[in-house]
Amino acid sequence: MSKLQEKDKAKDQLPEEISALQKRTQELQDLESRYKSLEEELQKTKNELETQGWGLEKTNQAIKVLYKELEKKNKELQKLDQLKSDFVSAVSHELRTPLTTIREAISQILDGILGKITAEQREFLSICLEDVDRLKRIIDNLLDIAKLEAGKIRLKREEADVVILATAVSAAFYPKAKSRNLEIREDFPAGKAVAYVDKDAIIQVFTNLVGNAFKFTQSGYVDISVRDEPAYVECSVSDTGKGISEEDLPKVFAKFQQFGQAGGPGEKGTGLGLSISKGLIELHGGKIWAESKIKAGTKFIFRLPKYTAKELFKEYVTKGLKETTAGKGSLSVLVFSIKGVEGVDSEKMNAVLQNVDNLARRQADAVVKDAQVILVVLPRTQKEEALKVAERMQGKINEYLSKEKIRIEISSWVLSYPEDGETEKQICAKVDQITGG
Amino acid sequence: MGKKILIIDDNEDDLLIIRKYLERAQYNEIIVAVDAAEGVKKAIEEKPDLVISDTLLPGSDGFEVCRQIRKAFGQAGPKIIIMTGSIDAVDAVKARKVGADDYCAKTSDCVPIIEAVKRLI
Repeated sequence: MSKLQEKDKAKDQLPEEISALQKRTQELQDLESRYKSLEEELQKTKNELETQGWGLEKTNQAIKVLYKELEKKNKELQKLDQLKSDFVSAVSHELRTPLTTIREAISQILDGILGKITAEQREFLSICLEDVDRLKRIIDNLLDIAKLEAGKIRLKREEADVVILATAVSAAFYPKAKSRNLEIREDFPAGKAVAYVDKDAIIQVFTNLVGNAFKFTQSGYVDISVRDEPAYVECSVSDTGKGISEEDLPKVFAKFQQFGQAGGPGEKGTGLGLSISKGLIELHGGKIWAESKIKAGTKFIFRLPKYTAKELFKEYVTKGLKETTAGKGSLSVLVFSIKGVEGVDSEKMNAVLQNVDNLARRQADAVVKDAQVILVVLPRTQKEEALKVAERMQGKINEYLSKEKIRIEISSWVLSYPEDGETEKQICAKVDQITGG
Repeated sequence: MGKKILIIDDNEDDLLIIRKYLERAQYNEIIVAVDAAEGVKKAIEEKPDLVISDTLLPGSDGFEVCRQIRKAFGQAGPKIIIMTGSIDAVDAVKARKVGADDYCAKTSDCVPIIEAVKRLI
């Protein structure tokens, strides 16, 4: 090929190359503008992220501040609540003493000890006496409520047959039932219904419920029932009285609530009984509720969880530890393990258990016992001190056993927080080790 | 200090409390407004150095107030703090977007507000 021909060919190719170059430039420009818009978008996103971050940071700060404020307010409220409870309990105490004096004076005049009185005087004084008694009931109830609200009521829980408690309350109402011409029905199981309860508290609840039932029932019957279930004991008190309306039913457990009592027979109430009952049942880990139909009657039901000795012990330890970690204090547990019970008759065995139980209760409210072990939780007690207590108790137990010539071996252990365990789980596991359970 | 502060809040008690705490912190020139319209008007007329506005206001809200003040003054306007009793991250972002300088919680001791004021003016 000649040089000329080559040149011609190159000439022909030139426009093609130019157009390719132009295309390339265009592509580059496109790329650049895309890059720019991407960069802008990135900047925008970055700004948006910054704004979001700013918002989150501010929110975070504010939440922290508000949380602190909430904590502060909460503490103030608790303090106020405490003050209120203290006030109520102080005032009630102050009121009780003069009331006792007044009551005594009125009774003496009524009894004619201070000279003869007329029928009219007697009538007036009787009214006074009734109202003084009512005032006393109100003050007692106020004290109970104040204590419940302040968490100052400590239940003395022990193994008890709820049927026996219900029977006792039922019997106490026989005279009233007779005078009011009402029937008391008892629906109790043939056997026992045993639960870990504070006997006095449960009697108080039954008495309150049965008392209420009588107050609102003109004719028919009051039914007291106890049912023994595997996990709980369920009790109920129902009547054929006037009933409570649907809208009032949720309010029955509130303080100072009284419904349509005017004109009813019997003594006036204080409007505190049911809220005290509710507080006591809830302290047992149970619940109480009411069912009612206007003109058909009302039924109050409460359920008491049974608790095994171990469950109750765990609860005591948990509660004790909660108080402890707050105050960085200590807690000790005395374990009395009972061995060699074979061949000892059960009556003797019970006497021994009761004896140790009584000894233990002098030391603490939190005592749990079953056939092989007695556990005593001593809140705020250091190991050193607990060891002394254990030694003293062991001495008394040995003395008793040898005096009664009972061949049972009772040995004691002391477990303390934090030395022997830092959680209730660890402490309970140690107890299991000791008792071999 | 000679700094002028405008507080916009429809709750008279809150106004009084914030004012008390600001005065205690030596901010003595304080003006107040109880709704959005009055707030914007006072911000434009009185030209405060700083505006503190509640989020919820009768007829409008603190974000709208902020937007209008920024619109009226451009970048040279007063510093703006949006305060609220109900903290919300979405609100915080919104406050930033309408040009607020700070977003903080209303507390009974007003500490977050006073701190924000001290930071800004």
